[in-house]
Amino acid sequence: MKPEDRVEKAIREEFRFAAGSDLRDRMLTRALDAHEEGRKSRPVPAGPAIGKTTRRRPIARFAVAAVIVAGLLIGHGLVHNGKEVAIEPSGHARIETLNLVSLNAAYRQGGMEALEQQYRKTFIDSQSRPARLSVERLLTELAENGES
Amino acid sequence: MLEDEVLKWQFKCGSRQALAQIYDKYVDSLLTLAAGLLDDAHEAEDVVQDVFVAFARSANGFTLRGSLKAYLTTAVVNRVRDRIRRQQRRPAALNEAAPAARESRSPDEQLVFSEYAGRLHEAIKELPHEQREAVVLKLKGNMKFREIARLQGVSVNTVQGRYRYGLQKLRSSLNGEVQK
Repeated sequence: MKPEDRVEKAIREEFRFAAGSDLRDRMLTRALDAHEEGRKSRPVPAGPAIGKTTRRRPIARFAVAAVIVAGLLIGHGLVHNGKEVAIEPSGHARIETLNLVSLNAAYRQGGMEALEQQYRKTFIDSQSRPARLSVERLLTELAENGES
Repeated sequence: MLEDEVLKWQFKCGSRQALAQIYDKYVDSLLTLAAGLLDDAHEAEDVVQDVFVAFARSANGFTLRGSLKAYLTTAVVNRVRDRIRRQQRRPAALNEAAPAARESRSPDEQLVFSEYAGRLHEAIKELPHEQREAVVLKLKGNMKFREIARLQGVSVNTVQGRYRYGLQKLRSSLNGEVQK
């Protein structure tokens, strides 16, 4: 490698500029302000548009239909076999799913009246109504299932 | 290098402190780079300010696989080129307004450089922009000829030629002035 000549050395070592203290602070403040603005204007990430995806993609429609059918079959089996479902105390999600399935099955069999009875039996009598499951949500879900 | 990786990650996570550290680490070298590429060294503040403001705003979607220094250097070069293009289109009277305003500021509010650095700057100013870019990016940006070639969109040989010619001119204009 060629040794660095004097001009190269002079530029490398002597050609230096720096910000005065006030200038340095002012520039940093502006950068930090811009950083804050950027954080505030962060776009809210849109959640996955499940509804749209489901409507637009045939494979998704098929998947949703399969899940609903499976849910109905399980619910149907639970009701018609007349067996008591032994639910382990662990796993609220599983309980909610089973409850939802039983309510769904009740609605399919006897309409709103059966649904109300099942709802009372499942949540009100046993005082085990989970916080995440409301009648509104249930009705919405049923309505969606009915449409699909 | 590892420090930069940590800073990049912290910055991406929204850390103000990481931004301040990146600023502290690179502000002077970027100011030097911008001053070397511009006729008016004081315009370097505006360029570097713009680069850091844009960088700070980009924190949300910030993804960078390469070197932070190379990223900021390229940002400065691009801003300088934009500025030069704008100045070429703008009437001279408007270009002179900003330096006059700067001179009224206190020394702490300005760029700090030695008299010798000022003389080197005068000599660098005389170079055609391509040669100037090659010399400044090589010596102050510590860039490889290959990287400069990519930035200028020319071959490595062309960049080496520009660098060589640029140094020759500097040698003749600084004749006797360069300290032995």
